[in-house]
Amino acid sequence: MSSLAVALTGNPNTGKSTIFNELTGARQKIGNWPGVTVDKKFGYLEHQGRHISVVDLPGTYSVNARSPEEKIVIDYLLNEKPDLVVDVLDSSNLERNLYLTLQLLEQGVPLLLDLNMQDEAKRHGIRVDTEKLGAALGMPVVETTARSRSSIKTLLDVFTSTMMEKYRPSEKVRAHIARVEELRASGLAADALEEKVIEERYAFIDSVVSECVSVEGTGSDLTEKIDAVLANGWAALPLFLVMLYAVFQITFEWIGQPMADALDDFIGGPLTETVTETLESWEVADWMQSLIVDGVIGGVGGVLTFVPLIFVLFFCLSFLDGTGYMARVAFITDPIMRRVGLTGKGVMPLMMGFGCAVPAIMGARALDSEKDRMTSILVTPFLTCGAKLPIMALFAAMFFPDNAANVVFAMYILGVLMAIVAAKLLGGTVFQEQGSTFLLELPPYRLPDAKTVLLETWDKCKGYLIKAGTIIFTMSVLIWFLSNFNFGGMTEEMNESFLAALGTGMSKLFFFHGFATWEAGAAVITGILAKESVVSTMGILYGVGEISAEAEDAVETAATLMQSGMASAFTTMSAVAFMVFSQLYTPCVTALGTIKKETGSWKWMGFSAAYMFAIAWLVSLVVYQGGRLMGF
Amino acid sequence: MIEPFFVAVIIFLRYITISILTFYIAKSYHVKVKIIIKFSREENKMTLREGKSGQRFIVRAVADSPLKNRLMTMGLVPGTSVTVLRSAPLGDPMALRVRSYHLALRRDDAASIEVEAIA
Repeated sequence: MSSLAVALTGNPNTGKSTIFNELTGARQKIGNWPGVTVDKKFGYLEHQGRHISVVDLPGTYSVNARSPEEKIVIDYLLNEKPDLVVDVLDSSNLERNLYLTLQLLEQGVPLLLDLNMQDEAKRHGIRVDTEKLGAALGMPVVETTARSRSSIKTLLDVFTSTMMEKYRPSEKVRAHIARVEELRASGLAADALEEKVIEERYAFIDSVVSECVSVEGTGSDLTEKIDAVLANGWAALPLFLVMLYAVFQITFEWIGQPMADALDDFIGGPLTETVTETLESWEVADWMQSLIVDGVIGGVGGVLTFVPLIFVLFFCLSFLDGTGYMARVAFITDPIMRRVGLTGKGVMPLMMGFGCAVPAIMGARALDSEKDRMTSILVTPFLTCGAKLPIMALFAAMFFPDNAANVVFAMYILGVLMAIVAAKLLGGTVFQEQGSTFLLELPPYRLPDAKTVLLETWDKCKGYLIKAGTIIFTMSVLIWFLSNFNFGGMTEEMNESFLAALGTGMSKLFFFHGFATWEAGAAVITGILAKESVVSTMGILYGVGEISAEAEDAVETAATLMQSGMASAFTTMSAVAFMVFSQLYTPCVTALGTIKKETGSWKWMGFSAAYMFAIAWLVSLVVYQGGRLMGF
Repeated sequence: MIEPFFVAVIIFLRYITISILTFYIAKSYHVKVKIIIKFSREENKMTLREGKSGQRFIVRAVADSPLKNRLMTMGLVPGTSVTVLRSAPLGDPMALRVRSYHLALRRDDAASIEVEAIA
């Protein structure tokens, strides 16, 4: 069986990914291009007895090798020489799309031109003469409507029947290449030369387009009408808030949270019981049972319960992204975001930060300047993620029973304020000399392809699941060990464990903060491993046993803890200081691991851990001492 | 759990207040950060920065700037017609129609594009 290597290339927003997903479906893998944080997507399929491998190259507007994506595209095409290179074009936007096509032809890459989005072009009254286009460029042309099964079938038939060797660039293209060569030989300065070459390319494209494309009437431009409402001046912001509200409701109220609760019940109930019974029937040693049930199931399970939330949040965001609305969100929020040292493109990653910092940090990939990306990565963890919320809810319910909601809310605001201050500071110091730009295509509104949205969502959740299985697994075992052992071996008394010793050490740092108890110190340490464990650590250490880490149960949990030693361990003011500290300090190890991966540097990971700890320490100190001076 | 919504509202109210304040402070001190106008006003040349919604222009030249190459690659070469579609709140960035697609661009970046108005 002969095999065929196919590469998909094209501009962003041409439906290229949809074609890739329709071709390969679930038989795809997502890896990383070596050395960069750009996804490498590839998949396999069989058609007419041939084994076809497909690579989905990153969507780019050109191949000047300026960005990692552009470099990947051109390097892959020139070095790997796939059997067939498919250039996916948006038929309703041929002019800009043909720029990449022409650049590739100049590099001697033979292309199968795929005129995609035919239905959309026809609605706009745009007719592309396929034969003329093929003749003008000397390359084979195929028409598709992504998402239609018959289109995909046609495309596959073309894959197996097209002999690219038969095609040579047309006379016209060769003449263009000769003119470009001439320019390059003319000894112009690099900048001026590049300008001339770009003009030459667009001159060529304009002549091809005037030959092959006819526009009959403008048709009704739906995108234009929607944008007049959703992306126009001040009115666009409240509409964005409504959209955001809907996303949060779906995630935390309607769909995500109920799923998370069900999973939590299952892990805490039937799963734990079954495993315990099984282990007992096998007569497994007590310490091993404790490790598996308390350590692994407790730790990994706690993280798994966040998966439904992340899945639903990501599904909503991927869906909105697929419609084209996200580009508008970036557009309408940029004036605000720019003034706080960020960029409009960073709004969505930041919004994810209210769910979990991990996908939010990964989402910063989409930002194009290094400054914006780094700033976004470094300030995201200040926000109140889903795991910090229970801490705030518990302390607020215990020490401010009458004003709990307002206090929790104030902590959210504190997180946002610190993120803004940090963005400003980073912009004025670390990234001072770097500029920020904003150049963004606003694609036409489209109904997203279900398969593409689901695959994208799954891809992002998968990363989180893998982390739950690696980092969290290891850390769970570690916490379990620290809280159950001391130098004398296994101990029943937690206040004699390694964790107590570490907590005592850590608590020395908070002598002036009012919460210098080993219990608080231990909670701070476990909180670095996972913020979820701050509340459960408190519960265990103050001897009330299992307590709920759910924000909804905060009032009951607070009532239980009030009976314990915890009420006397904190004063109102030191409780506030502890909340402030928890809100702002070092991100959890999963987030730190993500920062390491995304920045590719241990230095930035260390910086993030250290500067957030320092800021949290300072701010909570000021809050505590300031509060005492004012007589609270 | 309704807090995230309130948070979002407060964040935006805050952002908006900050924006308005910053805008007026900057205006009253005639501060303009990072303007890359390369075409002097004496020559009476217009740049896309001053473009208002609904106006149509022809690109005359693109001045040297770190963005020059990307702008030209995206189709903003001399002779191309550009329509200003709308602006984000506070008038910046702006949305353009260029070569049958829509492009959003900050006005500071648009300052490097010299244009000529057409009726």
